[in-house]
Amino acid sequence: MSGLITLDNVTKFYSVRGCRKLVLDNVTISMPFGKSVGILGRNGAGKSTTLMLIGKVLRPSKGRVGWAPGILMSWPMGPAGLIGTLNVRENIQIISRIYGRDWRELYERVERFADIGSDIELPVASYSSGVRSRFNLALSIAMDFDCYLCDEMMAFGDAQFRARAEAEITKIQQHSTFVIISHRMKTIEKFCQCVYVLDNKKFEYYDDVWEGIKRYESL
Amino acid sequence: MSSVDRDGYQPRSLHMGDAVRIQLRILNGLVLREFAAMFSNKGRGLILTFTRPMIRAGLLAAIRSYGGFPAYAGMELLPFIVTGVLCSRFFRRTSTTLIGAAESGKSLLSFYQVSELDLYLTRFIAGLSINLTVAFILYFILRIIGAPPVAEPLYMIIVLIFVTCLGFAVGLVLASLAIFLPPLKSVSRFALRGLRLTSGSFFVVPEIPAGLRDYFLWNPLLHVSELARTYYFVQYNTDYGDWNYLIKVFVITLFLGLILERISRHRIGRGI
Repeated sequence: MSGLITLDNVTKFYSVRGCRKLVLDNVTISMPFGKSVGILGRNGAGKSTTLMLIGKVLRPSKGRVGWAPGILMSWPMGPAGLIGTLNVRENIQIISRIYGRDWRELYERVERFADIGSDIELPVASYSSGVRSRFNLALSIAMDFDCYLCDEMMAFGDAQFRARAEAEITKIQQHSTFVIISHRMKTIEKFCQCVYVLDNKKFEYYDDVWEGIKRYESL
Repeated sequence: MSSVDRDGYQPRSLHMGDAVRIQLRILNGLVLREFAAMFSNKGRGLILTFTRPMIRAGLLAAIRSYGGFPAYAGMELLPFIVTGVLCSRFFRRTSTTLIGAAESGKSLLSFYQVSELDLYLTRFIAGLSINLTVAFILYFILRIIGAPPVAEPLYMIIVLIFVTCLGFAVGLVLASLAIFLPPLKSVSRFALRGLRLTSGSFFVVPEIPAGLRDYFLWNPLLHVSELARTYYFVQYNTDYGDWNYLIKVFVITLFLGLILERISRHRIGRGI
């Protein structure tokens, strides 16, 4: 199988108090090159788990997750990855080392884009979830990944920030792709060129975003 | 159309050297995070790191002196105790900080480059650098107050590095086992305390009753203390500290620890 991202016979279950909770059941998909992908499904369907499997934050219980060779994949955007006791600068210093980037350049870009103000010197744990997400989005965007993994990326921030983020993402889409989870169909319509609907632990692929949204709304 | 399309896609090739560079970069970032977390409480952690072994050594020296037991074979009491305390402390500190390292660093597993073993290695590297700094400062203070210099500094450094490595190996076993058996976290503290009490931090092997000596010598820390005192004092030459035994214990424990870590990583963070 060849694709930007492939899930090859992937099964994922969680063990909760000795019981197995099946999330994905022997799923095989190949996400296409050059298209931003939306993942739709009801709450608890396993969308976030899928995103974390794609980001290799979680390991599949069975099967294999693969990326096209040499792809620089983002971490799944959300509050994860940030160290709460440290401030923005310290977090950037650590993450820039992990990715081999110049922290000063990243810091400048994040400061400009996230516009957190004087709170930038406070520990990240003291931020509201909205501000944390703004920082996370700003940092991911500043990193120049080939593929971005976004979980509800437009569900936070004020209208001004959202407009700025949308403009930036549109610009980035000229050279990178996105895998987006969202319950806001406007976000899916605007940024995705195809859709996977997750239902009953399996994926259905829709090349037409509208068709996918209609299927999702019928769930 | 995106540049990440099938036609325009140019895979970047990775070589062995790149993998090593990436690994070093990751460890660099994680060690930085470890130090930042350790000393984020306005230097309180830093002060405690240096003062605790001093206080403990002072207390043990006072007890031994008050009990009418001068240090064995003409060794000076304070460096005698400091050497023993440093060995047992470095071992205990390294092994206990490893327990729970993966749990506390879970957020870092959001970066696919970071593995659970990296989190353990990071604690080891940070611990080793702190241990060597603490040892350097304490021996420097001892020298200022008139204690004799370390007779064989290079060997002394090797012993201190070794005891930290041994702490890493034992910590890896305990940390991995504790993922399957959480009560082990508290039980292991008692087990480590037992090792510490018999580690020779305030006595040497010839002072142990002959009938018990062989049992005490199962404790690798006692061998470490014996060797450390041999390298510190010109007048003391151990008949009991055995590098062969220490290396065997280290290799077996490390091997076991790496296997258990591999098995246990499916239970934490990425596996659940």
